[in-house]
Amino acid sequence: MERREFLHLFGAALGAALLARPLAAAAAASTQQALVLNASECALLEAICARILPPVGGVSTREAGCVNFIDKLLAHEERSLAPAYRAGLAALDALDALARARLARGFATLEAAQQITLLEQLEDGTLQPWPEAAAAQATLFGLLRMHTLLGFLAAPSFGGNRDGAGWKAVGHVGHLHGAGGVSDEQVAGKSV
Amino acid sequence: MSRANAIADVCIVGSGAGGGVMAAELARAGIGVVLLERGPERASEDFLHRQDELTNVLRQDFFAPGYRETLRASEREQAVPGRYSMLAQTLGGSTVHWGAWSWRFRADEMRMLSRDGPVAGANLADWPIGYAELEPFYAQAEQALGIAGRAGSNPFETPRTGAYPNPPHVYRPSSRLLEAGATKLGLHPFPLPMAINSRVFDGRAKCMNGGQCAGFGCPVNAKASPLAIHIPAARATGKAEIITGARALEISVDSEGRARGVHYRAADGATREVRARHVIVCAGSIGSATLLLGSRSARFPNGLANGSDQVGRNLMCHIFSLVNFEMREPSLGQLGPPGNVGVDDFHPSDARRGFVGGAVLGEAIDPLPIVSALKSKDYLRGQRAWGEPLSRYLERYPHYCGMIAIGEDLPVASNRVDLDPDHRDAEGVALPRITHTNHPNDVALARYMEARMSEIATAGGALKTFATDYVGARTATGHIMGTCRMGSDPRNSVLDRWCRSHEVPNLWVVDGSFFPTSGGYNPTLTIFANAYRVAAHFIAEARRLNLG
Repeated sequence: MERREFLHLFGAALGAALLARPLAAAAAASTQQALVLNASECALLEAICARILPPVGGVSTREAGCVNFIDKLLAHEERSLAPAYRAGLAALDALDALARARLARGFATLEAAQQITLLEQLEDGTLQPWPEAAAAQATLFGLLRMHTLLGFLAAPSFGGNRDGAGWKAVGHVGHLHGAGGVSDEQVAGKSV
Repeated sequence: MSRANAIADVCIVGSGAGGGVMAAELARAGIGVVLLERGPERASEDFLHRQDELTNVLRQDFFAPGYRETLRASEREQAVPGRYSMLAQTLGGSTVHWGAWSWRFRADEMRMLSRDGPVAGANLADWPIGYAELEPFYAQAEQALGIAGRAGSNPFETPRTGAYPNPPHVYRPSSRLLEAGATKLGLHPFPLPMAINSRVFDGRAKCMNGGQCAGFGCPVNAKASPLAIHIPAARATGKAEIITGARALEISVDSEGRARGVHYRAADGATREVRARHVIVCAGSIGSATLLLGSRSARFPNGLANGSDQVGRNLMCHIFSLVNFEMREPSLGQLGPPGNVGVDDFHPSDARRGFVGGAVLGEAIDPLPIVSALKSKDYLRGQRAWGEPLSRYLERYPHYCGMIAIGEDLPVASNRVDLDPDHRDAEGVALPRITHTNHPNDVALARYMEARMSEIATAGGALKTFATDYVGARTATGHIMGTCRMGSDPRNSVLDRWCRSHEVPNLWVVDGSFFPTSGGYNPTLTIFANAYRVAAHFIAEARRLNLG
């Protein structure tokens, strides 16, 4: 694991840009309407999230609301990321147009294997052409992956993990203190 | 009398394991205390309703929002602003969000230089105090915190007198796997001691087994902390004034070179001074060192108590290795306290292993889903960590658990905290600058322990083990130690054996800053025990110290 990823794990940051964040979780949950992303960006992100994280225990990233999580993140807490995100998505849109020209289909409607190939190239930084103004490909892919996971697993108050769908999918029991805790026998696995 | 004219007996800066104990013990002895805590006072309700993994663990915004520092590997580099240390600015200090593993250091760990001899590139030292002196205070701390454990169950611990006040916590399936694996290998697993109530104790609740311990405040105070224990005790005396939202800016000095008091920024934005006969700094290794370094005057141009250029040096943060494992049945790692089984067989120093020092190994529950999801890269090493493999990995979340090594890292003089000349916070105060590179000994120790933990989990029947590499992490840890070394020689230490400044007679530093070496155990119980020791000395000397 690279040091940078460790810092993800233990909270140092996703990067220096992500430090300032007035917590706006309540606002994040208050509307499912996109605040930052336009309709085509939402559709593109839906497709990307679904490919990065296919259904877990039958629960899809669409059901969990990963795109809403990302939209609210960009709107409230990591606003400084929005330009890079936009530039990255614009570049993907351009590839989308390329795909349409070549294959007569946009990214969202490509075959799974075609989508996966494009995302692999994004992760490897080999997508061509890629505008210089856009975020580095590997960085963008890393953010998309991280945000997909957060949208699936962060507390529902942030706008994803709708009604705890992501937690249920992975078998996370949620906040047990508020539910009265569990007995020692349950911890030991000796009773339900 | 108004504060402007009053002179307090003592002013304590910081309310964690050091400051909390000092406040409670001194106030109980009739000494007047003014305690300054930078953070707010949190209530159980906050812990019940306002904490979550993203906020508390990944962003660490719950306990120290806005905290920033800078980091570089060596003096040749430009330090990068960020958030590297896991510390809490809240009444009760970082001990409010600790993991509560509570060890006594081994006697030989306090004599590292004598034990191992000099190591090139490191700054080993013997502690000026020994285990025998600390032992009664370890016992006092264990009683106060309600440690759950079984005395005598760890054959590698220095022999102790007395039992733990509470029995060990119940083992979950992952605890039993590690216990079986260690036993099969001829090792000596034992229930690791924790400052979490295994039964109702001293007016605090039994643990609800709700998980979310490390990184979180406990809503029922089953986890011991100064917020739950020492602050209420100090208040009950009527001798302690506790001021939250009070950020210490500078320790002022008088014409004789004694500490005069503490300037602080109050919650209302005003700058005030607490005058005191003694100043006791308990702001943690980073906070205490930067407060001293920032307290410059004509008499102390390089910062207070820093005539020997030792303040901020020998910063230690432990070296960790972590082996995760997947088991057939659910680990139930989400339930109960953070880990139950310890293995200490690899603790005794043995240079034939290729390094000196040691580590304790302990069950590290796989706590919450985001951190678990981020470990997918370790599980899926060699393949792309997304798509179907990632989803299949997440579906196995209830079956993961881990084992962590708390490794002794060597003190190195150039590993230090000082004041960043280029970066300031919103209030115009220089950010702490951390310069840190692991000594090669640290890395060798971590790799060795990683292999041992993998063997234990495998022997216990784990389906798969996968390591998470901490070695490049530098100070992304809560185990921040050193920076104001305790020693008998003022030329190479900051504090004397009583954690009193060699240079400024009424200035004390009572937190993790004093550690001459880091020991291979979580440090907090030792911070508590040492604070009880210093408090007892302080009280005994009170008359001579012009107090009370």
